[in-house]
Amino acid sequence: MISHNVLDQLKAIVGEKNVFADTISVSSYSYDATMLSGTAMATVFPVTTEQTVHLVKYLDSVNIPLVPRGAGTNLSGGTIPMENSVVVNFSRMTKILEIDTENFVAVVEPGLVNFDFQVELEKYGFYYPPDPASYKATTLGGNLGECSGGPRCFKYGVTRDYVLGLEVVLPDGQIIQTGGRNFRSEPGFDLTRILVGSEGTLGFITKIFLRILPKPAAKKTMLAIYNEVEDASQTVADIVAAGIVPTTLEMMDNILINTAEDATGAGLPRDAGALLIIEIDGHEVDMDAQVEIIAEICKKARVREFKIARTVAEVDQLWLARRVVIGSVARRRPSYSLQDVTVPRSMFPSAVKEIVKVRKDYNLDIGILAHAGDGNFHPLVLFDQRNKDEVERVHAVEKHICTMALALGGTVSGEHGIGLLKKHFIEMEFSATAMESFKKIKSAFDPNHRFNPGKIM
Amino acid sequence: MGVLNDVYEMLNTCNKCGFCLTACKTYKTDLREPMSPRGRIQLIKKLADGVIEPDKDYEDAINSCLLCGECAVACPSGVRGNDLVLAARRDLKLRKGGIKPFTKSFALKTLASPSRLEHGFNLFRGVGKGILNRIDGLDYFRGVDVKGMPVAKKPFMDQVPEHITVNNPKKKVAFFVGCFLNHSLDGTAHSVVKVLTKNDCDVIIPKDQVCCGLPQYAYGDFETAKENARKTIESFLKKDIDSVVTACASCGSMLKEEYLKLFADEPNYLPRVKEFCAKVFEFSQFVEEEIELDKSKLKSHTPVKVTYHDPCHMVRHLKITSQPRQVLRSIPRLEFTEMNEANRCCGASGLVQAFYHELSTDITRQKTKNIVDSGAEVVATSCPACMLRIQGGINFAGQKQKVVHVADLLAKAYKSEN
Repeated sequence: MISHNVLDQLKAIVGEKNVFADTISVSSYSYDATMLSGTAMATVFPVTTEQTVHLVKYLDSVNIPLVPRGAGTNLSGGTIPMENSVVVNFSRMTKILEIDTENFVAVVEPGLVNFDFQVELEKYGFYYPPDPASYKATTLGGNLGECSGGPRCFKYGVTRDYVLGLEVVLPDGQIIQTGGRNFRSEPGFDLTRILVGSEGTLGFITKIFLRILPKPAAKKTMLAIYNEVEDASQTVADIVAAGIVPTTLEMMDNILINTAEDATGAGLPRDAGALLIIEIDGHEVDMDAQVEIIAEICKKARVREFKIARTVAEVDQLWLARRVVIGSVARRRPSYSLQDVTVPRSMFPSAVKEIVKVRKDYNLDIGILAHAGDGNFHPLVLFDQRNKDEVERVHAVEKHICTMALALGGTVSGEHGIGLLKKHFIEMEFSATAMESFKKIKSAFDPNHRFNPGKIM
Repeated sequence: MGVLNDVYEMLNTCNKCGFCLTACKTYKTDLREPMSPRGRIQLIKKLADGVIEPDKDYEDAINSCLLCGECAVACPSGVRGNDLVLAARRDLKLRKGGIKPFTKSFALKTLASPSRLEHGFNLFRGVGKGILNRIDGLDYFRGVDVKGMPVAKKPFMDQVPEHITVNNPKKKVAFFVGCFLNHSLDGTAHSVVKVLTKNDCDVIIPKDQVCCGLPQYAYGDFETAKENARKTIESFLKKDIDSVVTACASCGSMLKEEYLKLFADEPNYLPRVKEFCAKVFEFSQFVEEEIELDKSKLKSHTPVKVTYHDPCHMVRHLKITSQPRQVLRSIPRLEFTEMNEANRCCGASGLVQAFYHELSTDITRQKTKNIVDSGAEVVATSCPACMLRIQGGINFAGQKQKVVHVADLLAKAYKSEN
């Protein structure tokens, strides 16, 4: 329970309508898109940098930990609050402060939703490449905290590659500015890059300088359908080996084709072993030649059917089907465990083979979803949380998949962050000495461990 | 609680992905989780699990839902948030033995009874408006344009005979008038009759018709809703008719779809319900599908730029979107233009506008902006509740667009030579 005194102080800082400590509100911020939960004492919504500074200083003085939050759509448990903490919710800081098309820069507040940003940029003929599947709901601050990726990242890179600078409120309440609006200026230590993906453990971001791009002149979206998932994964390796860089190279297997089809009715082939969604962009004149090369590669890998989306509506349908995958699996089983391992591209077919084997060995429903071009996998292990035996097998599979990725020279997390969910796995990836460096960095920023404590390490 | 047990699997199917957040007008306006579909679903689940109590804050989360159905469209796993909220409201009603607070219960009881409703509107027209006129500045009570709200001098059903016949009728159509058209927008009710008679339909207006029961149903009072539904079904089926037409999207979805759910537990009566539901048409749907509109009879009047607002009950419940637009496009010299977010809720949603007026007013403001941006002079729609809400929003914003029913525009296109 939060004391009246603390509550009054919080209200004095952010206003009556931005503080919530009733059971219903507290309960509503106990979860994110994982199955974890934890209960804070209150949720506060700062709407300015100044308020954030006051909150941080005040909560420091009464020794209360702070847990940052945006839309709460993360897949790592990064926003799960601990007891006796206060959730600092940035989703009411939604302003676009500037769109500078001459210098390809936009300045935004952290609570702005990725999709709302894209809609505004579109009016200027621009876009922001990182596009996590949940982009319609996720905030840019949250994307930054987890260093989110998305389907377009094969060609364009992840959130880290688009953050030019930050305004940061440090755990002692001081404000710093890192980077800036210049494309190449981070003399000294690259604090911006340390903060991106730090899940609010080092500082709270109150302003973000983002790099934006003009929309490409042309793009083509293709659908390749396979009988065997192994043939699809071979295609991925061959496209990369041919030196072609599609914006998108997405793979989904039979289980996920079916749940996505249930959700959208997009006309996906329910009997296919796997499919690839391939998108290229660039200049109109280059499109046809590239499509031809890709079609040839697919054919060589025994593609069953190769289609090019002819209309905007067809393209949208394919994308909708891809974006709903993770959400749609509850149609099959109520719970899922989602991995985010990444392997070197050349190892992609080996990893697919291993996951297919794991599926049999552990007798579990595992859907394979992958940003295949990046070697980034999202195996979705489907189960029912109420079935104890199943839950144990799921945990064994999680460990198996992470071990496999590391053995192939990969990493345990490509784009979802570590949060609480992958804390044990990150220790498998890095040496004890490297983890020690993590801790020193954390302590340098936040000596009292009050910013999102217990996350990442 | 039984009601929540019945929907527990659907509650459990929500895997908290958050795709519904952006689809929800109350969340996008308020930005608090309990105002989102995911938030509401998780709260209902926690109540079912016995982890939380149904306190005032819980009721606010459940009762502020617009039931617009947008979350159900957005959910990748097919969870129907609006159905779950409806179950939660039913559960609240059963837990407490009645609907709280008193004002809400009073409003619903008044709607359910024709005599009380008429008395209420008369009181409002006479004494109520008199008082309002004397209170300076009180034009808008809780975001509702009370001063501007029209009240029929006499209920529509007292203005017309039960049978309106034409020469050589091709169809016999019963008109389900609905509370709003009967007591407030009687002009629109006359428009409906005019379009039907101009198209060679005998119009039968059963004088014993009552409220469809949706307002009570939406707040979990299934008993009263059933009582009204049974009266409605019987009063229409005893007439010799081909079809039942309504010009209210909300009544339409109740009559055509919700009655089937409401009586799912009465297998003996269900065939009669089905017989009735099969006869029901929404106005524009009837015009497009059941009669051949003779466009040569439609005369051009002054050119006008019109946009269309899709009521929630039309677009997501009845799934009728092209028909009203077709009707509008068939009117000479009418320039049709789409507004941004035409299919998103206007913020009215029954009693939500009265009990969560700040939230509702913000949502209406977004609708008003989209209307102004469209450049239209007239907004057509298919639901009297939306008409009143949107007109209030436009007046409140100091704008001058007029909100009318699709039937009003079509009726106007028939020269009044009869």
